[in-house]
Parts: sequence; C-alpha cells; structure tokens
Amino acid sequence: MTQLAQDNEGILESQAVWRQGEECLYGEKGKPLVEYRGVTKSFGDLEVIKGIDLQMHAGEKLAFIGPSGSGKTTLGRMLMTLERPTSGSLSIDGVPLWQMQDKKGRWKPANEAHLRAMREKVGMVFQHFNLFPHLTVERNVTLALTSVLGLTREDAGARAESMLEKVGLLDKLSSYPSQLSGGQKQRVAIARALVMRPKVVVFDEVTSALDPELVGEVLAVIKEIAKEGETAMMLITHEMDFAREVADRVIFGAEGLIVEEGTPEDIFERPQSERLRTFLNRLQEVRD
Amino acid sequence: MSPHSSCADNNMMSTISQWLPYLAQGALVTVKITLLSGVVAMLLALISGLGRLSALKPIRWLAGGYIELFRAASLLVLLFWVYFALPIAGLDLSKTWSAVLAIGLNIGAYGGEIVRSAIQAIPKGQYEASVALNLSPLARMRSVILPQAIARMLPPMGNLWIEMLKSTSLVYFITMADLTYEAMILRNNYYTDTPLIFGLLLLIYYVMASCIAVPVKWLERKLTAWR
Repeated sequence: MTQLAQDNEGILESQAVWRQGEECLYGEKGKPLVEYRGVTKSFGDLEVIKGIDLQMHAGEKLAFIGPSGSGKTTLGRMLMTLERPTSGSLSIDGVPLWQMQDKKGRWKPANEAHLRAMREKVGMVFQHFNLFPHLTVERNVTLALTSVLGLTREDAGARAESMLEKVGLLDKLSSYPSQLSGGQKQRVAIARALVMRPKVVVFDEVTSALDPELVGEVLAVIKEIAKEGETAMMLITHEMDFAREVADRVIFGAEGLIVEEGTPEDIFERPQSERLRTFLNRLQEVRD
Repeated sequence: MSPHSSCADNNMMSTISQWLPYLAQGALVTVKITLLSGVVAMLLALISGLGRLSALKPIRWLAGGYIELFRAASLLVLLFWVYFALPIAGLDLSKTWSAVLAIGLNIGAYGGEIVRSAIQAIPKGQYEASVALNLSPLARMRSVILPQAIARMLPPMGNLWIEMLKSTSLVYFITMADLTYEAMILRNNYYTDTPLIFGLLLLIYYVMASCIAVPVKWLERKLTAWR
C-alpha cells in the first residue's frame, strides 16, 4: 500500500470513529441545530468569551441571563455573523458557520457567499430595533422577502400582513417608524425577523431600550410566538420572569463563561453556584 | 414720476434689452458647463466617496489620493493645466471639455468627502439589520444605506452645486464666452454703465443659483418625509 493510500485509510477510519462519537455525543435529541464548540472572542486585549460549549436544538427556547459584560450579546452576534469568533467553531445544522472547505477540501475562512447561505437560517431582533426609518412598516417587513427570497410584491405583502397581524400592527402598514412608539417599533422588528422563517432567532435584550410601560406588549408578542414552537429562540434578557415562563432551558453566564445551566426551576429555585445566588439576590433586592 | 426720469428709464430699459441677447448667450454657456461639470463631479464624488469606504486597501488609497490631490488644487491652475499643459502632453481638449474636466475633477473631490461622511453617518445598526435580514452587499447599499445617506448629502451637495455654478466664471481666463465673459465685453463697449452691467451680472447668477437651491430644497423635503 502506498503512503498516500495509507493516509487516506487513516483519515476514513478516524472519520468513522468521529461519526460514532457524534452519535454518543448528541444523545437522543439528535443533532443540534446550533452548536458552539470551544468558542472564544477577544476585542483587542479584552477576552469577552473565554470558551463556550453549547448546543441548541430545533425549536428550543434558550434564555441567557447574567450580569452585563458577561458576553451574552456577543454570543448572539456571532451566530448572526456580526462578530467573528477568535477561536473555536460555531455550526448550524452541522455546517460550520465561519469556516468553509475549498475544492480540495482544505478549511479556510468563510466568504460572503457562504455566510449568506448560512444566514438564511438565522434572524435577529436588536435592542435598539434598527428599523429602516426611510421605509414604511410594510416595506420594512417585505424588503428582504422581495430582495433576498425573490417574492413578488403581492406575495411578500400578503406574508407581511399576516405577520403584522400576529404582532397586532396590521393598522400601521403605511406608517413610518418615526410615527410608532418604542413597543410598536420592536414588534415590527420582530415581525421583520420572523417573516423570513429562520430556524433560530436571536433576541438581544429586546426590551432594554423600552419605557417600562411598553415592555409588556413586546414580551406578550414573543410569548405568543414561542407557543407556536417552530422557531428556536436565543433570548438574551434581563427579564427573569419572562425567561422563567418562556425558556426550556436557562443559561447563566458570567465573565465569558457558562457558570450554570438548567431548567428554569433549576436555575431560579435551586441555584448551585455562589455567583448565580448573588446575581439572583441582587435582582431581588432591586425589585423589593 | 417726472417725464424726464421716465425717459431715462425708457433709455435704460432699451439699453438692457440690447444687452440681453449677449448675456443670454453667455448664460447658456454657463448653464451648459455647470450641467456637464455637475454630471462629471457627481460621478466622481460617488465613486471616490464609496471608494474611500471600500474593503480593499488599494481602492481606498486611490480614492483618498484623488480627493486629497484635487480638493487642494486651485481650480484656476487646474483649468490652465488641462487647457494649456495637456495638449503638450498629447491630449488636446476643446475649451468646453477642458472646463468640464477641470471643474468636474475639483468639485468631485469635495463631493467625495460629502458622500463618504454621509454614508459614515448612517448608524451601524442599519448595516447590522440589513445583514441580519441577509440582504446582499449590493442590496444593503442600494435599499438601506444610500437612500438614507442621499437625504443627508442633499443640503451640502446643493451648496456644492451653487459653488460650482459660480466657479464656472473662471473659464473667462481660457477665453470661453460664458456669462462673465459677455459682461466684460459689454463693459468695454458701455464703459459708463459698468455698475449696471455688473449689477445685472450678479442678479443673473443669483437667479441661476436659486434654480439650484429651490429644487434641492424641495427634493430634500420629499426624500425626508419619513422624518
């Protein structure tokens, strides 16, 4: 046998072993929709994510809680391809997000075409809404439908309308964002993200920029959508009651690491770590 | 009004009406150069403004180099250079195209800075939202960034167009028969009427500048209705 053939044999063998390992690794839930493996992220000298391993399954509602500066938002932004991990790998449906293989099978950094293909599966709702101010509510929601998915204006309009009905803003079709309240803006932003039917949506502190009396209407809309169950949600939030009610699993992170994870009951009723207890107590004090 | 002054008025009116065909001829040349230079300048402004924001270093340098060089150039010297020096280097342009090239290059460099700063002033969240919706790089620019940036560009671009209109009078120095040139000829023939001729000249430039300012204002209001 030539050296090359032996090498090939070796590679095939190790891949087979890896596949078996994969089945053991993922257990009965099967392959995860989203997987972080040893992901780190540094901005200059500041390491904000210090090594995260995390799996998210189709339709799963995952809440991220933790003090500000714990890297929650950065985790979501990496999934939305807005930040590139410094090391580690992040995959969606088993396909690496930030790496791709060239014709010869060598790994290289993802190019724009690869990122665009992957982004189809992800959506994001931002803290500051980021609606397009020069477009009407309807056009905000239909823009990507016509521009990215190639729908006609009529088809896109119909899809947008049913989505806007869901968030209770059918009467605002022809309004501009400047004419809406913060809560209404955020509901349009939610409709805009969901109308693309992504497999996972990142909700990045979506109520943090709202006046307290407007928080409820936005959370109600998210709860309603969560009930439908199809879309996986990464809920980065400071609203503990909301996290408890909506999430299947809660993750508590601090200083770029996952400190504790579990069901909402585990996290809120039976916190294991000192850090989480302190965090929850402090929130309790603020409320009392 | 006394009969005497009425008579003088009539005299003045008839003199002015004698001048008008010449002034109109000159004004037409001024308008032509303004429009042609404007097209060249706006194209250069868009290319160099976007170029300075390119992800590719050589393009950024090229665009930056153009802007720095031609913004700093004296328009009159540039005009002389194009009209007198380029023919020696083998490129012989007509007076009109020399003027259009010189003014276009100079004004385009100013415009490039306007385009760049207007695009950079668009909040980063707008770009991020367009990425999150998976818009193509071209669609991000065309549907999200540029429409908002153009609304920001309009007021300074309007100023620049007026600046350009006024700077066309420098073509007098390469003996083009523009508005200023015609007025200078009239001044030779009607020396005592110099104040009136130059007063008229200022008035015509003012009217032409208004023809730029008014539509720009209208367009700005139309393009920013969403505010």
